[in-house]
Amino acid sequence: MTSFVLSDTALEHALQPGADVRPPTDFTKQIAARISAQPGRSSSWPLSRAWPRLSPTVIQLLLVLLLLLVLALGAFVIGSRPPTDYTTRSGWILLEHFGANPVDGSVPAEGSLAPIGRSLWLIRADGTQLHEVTPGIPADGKTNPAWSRDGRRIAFESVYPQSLVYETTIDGVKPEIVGSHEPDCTMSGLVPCYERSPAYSPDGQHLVTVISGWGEAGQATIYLRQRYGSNEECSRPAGCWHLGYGFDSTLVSTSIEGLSWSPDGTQITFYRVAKNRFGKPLNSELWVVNADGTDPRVVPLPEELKPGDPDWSPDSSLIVFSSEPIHDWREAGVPGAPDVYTVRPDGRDLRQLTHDRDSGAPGWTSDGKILFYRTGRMWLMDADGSNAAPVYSHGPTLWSDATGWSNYGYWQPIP
Amino acid sequence: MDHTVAGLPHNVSLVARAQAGDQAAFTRLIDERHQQLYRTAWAILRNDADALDATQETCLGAWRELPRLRDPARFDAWLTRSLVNRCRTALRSRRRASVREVQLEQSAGLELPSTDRDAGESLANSEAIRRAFERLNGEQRSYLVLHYVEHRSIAEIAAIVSAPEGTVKWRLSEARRALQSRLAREDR
Repeated sequence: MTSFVLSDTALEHALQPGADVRPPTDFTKQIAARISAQPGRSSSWPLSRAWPRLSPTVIQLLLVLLLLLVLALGAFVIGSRPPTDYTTRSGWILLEHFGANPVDGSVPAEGSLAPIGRSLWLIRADGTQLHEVTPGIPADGKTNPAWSRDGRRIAFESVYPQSLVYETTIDGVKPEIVGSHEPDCTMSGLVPCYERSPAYSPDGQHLVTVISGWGEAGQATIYLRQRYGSNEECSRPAGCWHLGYGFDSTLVSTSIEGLSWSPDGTQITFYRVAKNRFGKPLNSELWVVNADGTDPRVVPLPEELKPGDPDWSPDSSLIVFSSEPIHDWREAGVPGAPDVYTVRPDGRDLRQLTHDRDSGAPGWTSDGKILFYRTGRMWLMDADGSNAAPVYSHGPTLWSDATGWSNYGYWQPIP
Repeated sequence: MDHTVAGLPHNVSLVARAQAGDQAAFTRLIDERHQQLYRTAWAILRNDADALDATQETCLGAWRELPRLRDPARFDAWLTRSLVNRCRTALRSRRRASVREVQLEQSAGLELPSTDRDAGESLANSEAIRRAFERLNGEQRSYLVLHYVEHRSIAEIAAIVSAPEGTVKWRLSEARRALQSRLAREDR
């Protein structure tokens, strides 16, 4: 091929859809039919549009009723508050913020939850000292963080334009890329490749990550590297192995997510999720593989659970996970109904810990409790599901404009 | 070129009626815009099925989310942002899931004038640009399409992506550089 200068005209000619590119002629009719079939939106929504039509008397009556309702709810909440108080626990909680709101103050269009603009925040158990981890660095967003076992370092994944694994410290030193930082890395023959979902080894010297690419190989690889490894492939002791490979068709694909390394150092868990081409999840599986790369296996679970977000218990005997993980289901606009479960890595002793269909993103604390998301707050409970209570009853609600959406919390292992 | 979407004037009252639940008003808004939305999605995603899904999902999502739009005058930017986000999600999902890219031979890009004595070379160049474009990520594709295909100004793109104009200029320039880099690789 001959070299040529990329002119604006050539660019436009090449990318402009042809005249025959057009939607079906009945497109609008289809949309009209589908919105008619949806659960209706009230024509009086939003309330502000109906407000001027109400008389002052009716407005006063509504305000009185509202006040009574608030008082009743307050009494109920105070009366039913669990006795457990987690606000005095030490350590930081690391939160994942799901994305910036538009600067004009409007509500983001659906789908804009993910993924650019994501950030990480630290907060105390009593809801104080909320602050962002290395704001704006890197500028491409942060997601899928992991604590080192000593609670001093944080690895995370950047989002745009290429997912890379970074590491910073609890003190907020400038994040450094850990692993490959070539714009078009060619490890494992994958061009280009993306490195994601870091998890530390118990000794903090290694990171296990997922590398994926969409070249001819079309596969994802779980990859173990020295924490400050160069571009050497598959550093010892575990080597690397392919598990997230391939695709079933252009409609269904799979990816590997949520790596967690067992505290005894022997095993790694993760989940594979099958999605359609728009990222909507269809199914998922919980997997365990030995840390030396041998014996990858599916944890046998009831098919309807759709597991994700696994994390090892401190004694490495149990895996906590959620059904319909928020990172996959809700982000894709699918109304997931998650609950928290524990199971042994061989599939025995499956136990459902929550039953409200709005509890997910679980993770263990170093003393064997489970931190999880429930309805706008981070909660804590014992390993058997008892003593569930918000971590900070008086602090900020995470699901608010002030702090943005956040479902995922990670308690500092050693404060 | 003036863009609200495809040069349509803002119709704030129509948007307000749709926000209040008027399905006929919403259908009219969509009817006026769906061709433009579809072509934008197609230019980013480069195939019919994905473009149709993205456009449909955007329209259905808009109906659900419209009551939460605070400023009806920003409807077009809001709608386009939703579409672009869906296209990016679709592309990112392909990559995260390690899906092999399907080569799209049905590409319907316009060709340079046949009277050009270098028409053959131009055709090859267009193909090379398209192949290189399909190696870019969703964000890069979106910026290039909005600016070079739809001729949207920096200010318009900034309104769509909710970013400062300086950021848009930088992202656009990065996208162009990435495309040129891919083209150079095609050349080797």
